[in-house]
Amino acid sequence: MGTTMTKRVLPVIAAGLALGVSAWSLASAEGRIDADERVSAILPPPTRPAVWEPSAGFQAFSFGGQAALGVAVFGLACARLRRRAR
Amino acid sequence: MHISEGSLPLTHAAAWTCASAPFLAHSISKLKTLRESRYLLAASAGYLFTLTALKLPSVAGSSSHPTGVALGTVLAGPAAMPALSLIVLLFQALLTAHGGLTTLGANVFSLGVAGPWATWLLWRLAARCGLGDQPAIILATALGSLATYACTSLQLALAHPDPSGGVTAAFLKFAAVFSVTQLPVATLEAAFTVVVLRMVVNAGGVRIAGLEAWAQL
Repeated sequence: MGTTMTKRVLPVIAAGLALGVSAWSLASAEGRIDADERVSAILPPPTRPAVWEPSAGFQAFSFGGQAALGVAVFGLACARLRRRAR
Repeated sequence: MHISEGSLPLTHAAAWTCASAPFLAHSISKLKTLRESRYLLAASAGYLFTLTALKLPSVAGSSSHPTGVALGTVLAGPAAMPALSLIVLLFQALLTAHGGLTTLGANVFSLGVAGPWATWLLWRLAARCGLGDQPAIILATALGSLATYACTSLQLALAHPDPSGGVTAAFLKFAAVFSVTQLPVATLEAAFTVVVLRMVVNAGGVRIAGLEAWAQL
């Protein structure tokens, strides 16, 4: 039982961590301009400020967290689908 | 495709919110009826969450994220996507300062309505034209991703028309900026989506209308 759980959950955690770190790394990389920012640059200045403007570090961390969460949800859903198919 | 806070006049933001509202309401009621396919929905939501967080490097020193809506569109249908998109966009508006709260309706419309419906219509059309499953999904995913950005370009062009060329010139200007970055990303997303879709269909032994040949039952 424990081994089965480990077999199912460990790959999901590993993939979540790997993709989370990748997303964090991509979001915090410098030298590349996001397409949305490129378009924002040719728009008139925003009429309203953002409700909350987190630091660049926090934003990159949030992107990493989002990717890790996404992989975890995806992985666990696939594990349940596989189990149900059996 | 994330329109940031304050980039749309309030009237436009309200109009796009009104335009998204019926799709969103239908999507939420649809999710309740799709309880049997909740794991497919969860997989679709996870995929959407992951892909929209990946700022992939593209050409000319730019980066962009895939839209990630094609998997959910094929697995659960385009009607399910506005609610899933709302969750992702709300998360990003609050935690990554990507998008905005007043522009949420406009962003839901492009990511949750325009992209998924374009993907679904193109997929069905390509399948009807006799294209195989794989090429049909690749084509639909890539063009659906570009349709999301075309919708954003239209939203911005309507709000900020070009002083000399009007809405058309503004649309072409925004679409040109997006397309340089998004074309390679959309192509990559299309290929990746087919691999993941095949994995989900095979893993779950699920029957998807139009993909019966993929399920190993």
